[in-house]
Order: sequence, then C-alpha cells, then structure tokens
Amino acid sequence: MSPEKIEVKVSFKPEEDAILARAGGKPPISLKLSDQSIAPLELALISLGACAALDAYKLLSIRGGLVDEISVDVVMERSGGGAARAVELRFAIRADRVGRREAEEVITRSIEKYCSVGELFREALELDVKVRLLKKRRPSSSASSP
Amino acid sequence: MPLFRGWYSQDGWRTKLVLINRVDEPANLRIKLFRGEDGPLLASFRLRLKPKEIRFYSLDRVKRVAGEAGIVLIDSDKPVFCGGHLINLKDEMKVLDYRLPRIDEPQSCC
Repeated sequence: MSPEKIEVKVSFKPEEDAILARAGGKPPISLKLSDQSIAPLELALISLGACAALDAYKLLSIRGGLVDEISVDVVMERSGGGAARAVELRFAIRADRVGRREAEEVITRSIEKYCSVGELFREALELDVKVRLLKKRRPSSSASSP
Repeated sequence: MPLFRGWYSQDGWRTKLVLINRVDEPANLRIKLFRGEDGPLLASFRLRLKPKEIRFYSLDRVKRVAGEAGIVLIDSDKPVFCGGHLINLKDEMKVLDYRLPRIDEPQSCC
C-alpha cells in the first residue's frame, strides 16, 4: 500500500489573537486565544477522546452492543515543569447487551492497537483506561390513554 | 482479535458449537447468545481452549437459551475455527453444518 498523506494547514494571526485551521477542502475551524477558549493542548486531548469514543462505538456495536452514548473524560497529568507524564481516559458507556468487563477489554485493546490518535500519544506517554458501564435509559411509560 | 457471527437454534433444533484452537497457545473465547437478530443478550460465558484443542460445546448446557434461537457471537484472542452443528429434534437426519464467518474489525476512525 502506498503511504497516505494527511495534511492540515494552521495559521496564527497575532492581531486577531486567533488560530485558523484547515484540513483539505473541509470547512475551517477557528480558535480565539482568549482565556475562555479551548487551548491547543486541550484540542489534542479532545481529538484523543473523540477517536477513542468512535472506535469504542464501532467495536462494541459489532459485538452486538446497543450503545446510546459514550462519554470520555480525558485527564492529562503534568509534572511541575509542565511536561506531560500520563493520560487517563475515563469512559462512561450507556449501553445494553454488553458487559463491563467486555467493554473494558475491547476499549483497552482499541486504544492499544487501533486508535490512530492514541498511537501518537502512546509513543510518548502512558495511557490508562477506566470504564464505567451504565444501563440504557428505558423510555418512560407516562403516556396515558384517553 | 477474531470475531465470528452465526446462528444457533434450541427451538426444535439442538445446536453444538465446534471450536478448534489452531495455535500452540491457549485461546480465550467469549461466547454471547442473543434472542433473534435484535433481541436481548440471553447468555454470555467464557471458554478456554488448550493448545490445538478441539471441542464440541452443546448449547443444551446453557439453560437460559432453552427454546430460543438467534445470533451467536464468538470473540477469541487467538486464531480459532468456529463451526455450528444443528440437529433437528423431530428428524435427526436433518443436520446443518456450517462455518461461522469471521467479521473484520473496523478501521480506526481517522
């Protein structure tokens, strides 16, 4: 297989205090670098969480899981000097037809082997995974007959 | 991790799973049995196959699927062969043998 290139263009405009990012022909995203906005490092952690959640969804679904929602808290630990040391991914999964142990195994393997963003982090950091399984919400039976 | 998907029936049929470990290491399997295509998970259990072990596993042993039929999913951490052997209870000359197809795990999102 020939190597694939993924290219993004990032530009910083000091006067506007903003970062503009483009990936191929897709609509650009801009980040205003005020105190209230998402920092570039946080954006990287969001990418990791998003990739991990999407891969987890695919792997649980093909195992018969009925997934309502996957949320991931991505927590980075930094040393006093600011260097990143470890990242913990805390998954909360609302699903049926899947057990907690199975979800934990599948997701850990997904982070270790499949997740392409996780692969970039894994080169430099220790990635730890925790999984909490929540049962699917049943539709409320509040409808009353006339 | 190989994942296999097939159909079992304990409803007028008796299903045996044929499990063959193809490597020289133990294989850990997780077997899940559902009601029909989209129904609830009825039973989930683990099996460990010794190196190169061949095992017939009768679903008569799983009480929770008595009278049921549906999807069987087998997740293995090693390369294995999975087959299904179904015998009709009224006419034991009616036998179905099939190989559970392997489902490829999807590529990463990006």
